[in-house]
Amino acid sequence: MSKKSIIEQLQNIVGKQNVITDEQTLNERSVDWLGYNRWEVYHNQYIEEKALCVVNVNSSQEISEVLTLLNKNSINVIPVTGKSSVTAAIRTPEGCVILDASALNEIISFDTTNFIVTVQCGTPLEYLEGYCNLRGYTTGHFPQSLPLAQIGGLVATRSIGQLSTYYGGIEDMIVGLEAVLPTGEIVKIKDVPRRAVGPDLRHVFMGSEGTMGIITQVSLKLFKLPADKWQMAYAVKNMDDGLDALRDIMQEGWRPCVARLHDAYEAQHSYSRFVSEGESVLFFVAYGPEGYAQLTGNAIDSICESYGFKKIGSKLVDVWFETRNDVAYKKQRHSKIGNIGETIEISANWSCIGDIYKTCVARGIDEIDDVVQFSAHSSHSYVQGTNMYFIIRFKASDDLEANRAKFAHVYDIIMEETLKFGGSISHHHGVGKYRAKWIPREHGSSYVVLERLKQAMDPNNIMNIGTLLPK
Amino acid sequence: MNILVCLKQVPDYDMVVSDNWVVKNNSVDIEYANRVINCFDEVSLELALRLSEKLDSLSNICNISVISVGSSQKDATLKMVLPYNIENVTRIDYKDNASPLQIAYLIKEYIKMTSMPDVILAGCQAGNYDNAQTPYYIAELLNIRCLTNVTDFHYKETLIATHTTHFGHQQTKIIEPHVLSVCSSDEIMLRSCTLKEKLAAKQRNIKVVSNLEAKDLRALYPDKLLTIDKQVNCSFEHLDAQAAAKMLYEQINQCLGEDNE
Repeated sequence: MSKKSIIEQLQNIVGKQNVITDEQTLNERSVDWLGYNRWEVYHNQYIEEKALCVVNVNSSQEISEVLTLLNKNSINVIPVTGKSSVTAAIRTPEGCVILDASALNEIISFDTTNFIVTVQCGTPLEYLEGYCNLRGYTTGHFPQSLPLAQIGGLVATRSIGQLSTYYGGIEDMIVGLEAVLPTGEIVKIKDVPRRAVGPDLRHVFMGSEGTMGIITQVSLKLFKLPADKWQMAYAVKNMDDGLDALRDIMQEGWRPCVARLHDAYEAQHSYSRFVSEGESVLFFVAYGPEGYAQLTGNAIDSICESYGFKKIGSKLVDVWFETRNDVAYKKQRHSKIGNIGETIEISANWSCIGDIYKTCVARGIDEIDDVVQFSAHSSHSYVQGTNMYFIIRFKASDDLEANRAKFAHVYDIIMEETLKFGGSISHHHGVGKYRAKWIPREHGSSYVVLERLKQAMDPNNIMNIGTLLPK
Repeated sequence: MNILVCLKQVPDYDMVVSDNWVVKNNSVDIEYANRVINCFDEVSLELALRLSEKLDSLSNICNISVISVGSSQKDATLKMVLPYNIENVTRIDYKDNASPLQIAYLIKEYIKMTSMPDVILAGCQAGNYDNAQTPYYIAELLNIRCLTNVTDFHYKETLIATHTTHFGHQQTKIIEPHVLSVCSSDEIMLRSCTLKEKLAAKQRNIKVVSNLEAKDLRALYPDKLLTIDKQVNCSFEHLDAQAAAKMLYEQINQCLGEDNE
């Protein structure tokens, strides 16, 4: 079928005004927030591959009809909602169709008996959180993309929030969901607290990054707003000591909602009035019902004291709360002054996370010319290990290919060292197109399971080709 | 060419928690906010660095020096400048929160002690007090020209500054020595230093000058202003700042001349 014919048929389904083909829009939608793309877009450079069109949909039924059409014609589909992807997941291969579901933004139900809120996939998280707060509840989900992100994308990427150590990641927050398969069927997974009726089908879609279908509706857990709060910051001699303390806290069974360890560069850059040069900073926040937070705080304080950490008060935590999502203008500033930046998060067990951090930072400083920053922090801890969130900036040149090569080198360092030590190449940003080439090594012998799942769910391979699984 | 860049350390107000914007004991608690270089001074420094690179490419020598006034508490911020490969970074040791006139006087004394630079760059104001006076005082005390609202400058056989006026952007040839009062620019922001540059700079220190005093400043300005009991009518329509200032000067002089008669 010709491109013109496809567009006409799409217009018949969603209306002419909902099929966008203008060059400006297709340019803007061709890339996401991947580091070097941000710099290139700031300098009016766009990638050459463009989508055929953007299709704005308004219902699950429309999505079903659109997918049925595109599946029949083997046309690549990129599902999007909030467009806050940072991994090239929504970068557009030539001739694809962007299926934008952000208009599906209703809150369907708010159930305070079962503590479930059901929303459509285009519901902005910030709006939903405000809605819940007014009623005395919270979603507990606070990713840094909160001002931008919508629920569908948050589920599709297995996102995580800054308070996850208490509330969990998105996978702990989903009760049920509705999705549309690549072949057009609308499927619903019901809302129950737990069941043993075969593999958990929710996980087919969580983290699928638009490769297994389109999430159209999600039921999330509600939490009561915390009655009790505790927070404290400590200066720490080095990352190893900080990681040891975090491990102890988690393995003792304590669950502060925030447990963050920033290395010396980040501590000095953000909190220079609180710490001395060379010191890392470790801080915590605990939420819970009456008495719970204080109990958690007392235990954490005791563990930190046993390590000899210097208590520096809670003001630093206030500053972090207030400024934690102030990223947009900082990223723009760095583009303006000619820097390319990226954040790359990985996870690993306690036994090797420190080595991964040290090796990556040392290699980055040594091997990347004109590196301005190569630092990291741990922000999501578990009984078995933690994440490491690297922040890298280097000076860009006028040579686009050279910039892309340097960017790739940065990624290579972190991905290769993580895999070498047995860690995971993505903690919560997802895989996208950029990390897909490492996925077979990430999964090892279980990669065949992912491949067969993809073949079963998407037999014509139309869904977000090149994302999650390499082409 | 010798360029002197004046720097001031200010708190990073973006860090101040919104609940702390409450006046207690006639002040707001900003003690915990990072200390950073005043944003207009950052623009000054970036302009100086760009000019140095341009002159370098023409095989002309350009020396950049940085000066700041204050106590040793300013040293950490001043050291941020060392990685930019600036040879001479100096702090004039003095009490913090000196007035613009005191700061300007100390800078003048420092210049008297060393040598007159070709260009002195100073941010038009600083975010903590916004006095917007220091560049003018520096020029006045040194008896040299001052150009305001400078947003850029470039070198083409001579130095040409871009500055904003009510007519829009204008370009003016700089006659050295000259003070340039630098304001914000959409296009000019201070570049980053690499980690290797920062590491190399750790071996270097800033210089401290401790023997300068800012006293007897009242003698510089009379206690009473001269009053003219006459109405001076001037129309500045369609005149640029230089022409308007010249007209006002002539009118006032004429009044003074008539009074003396």
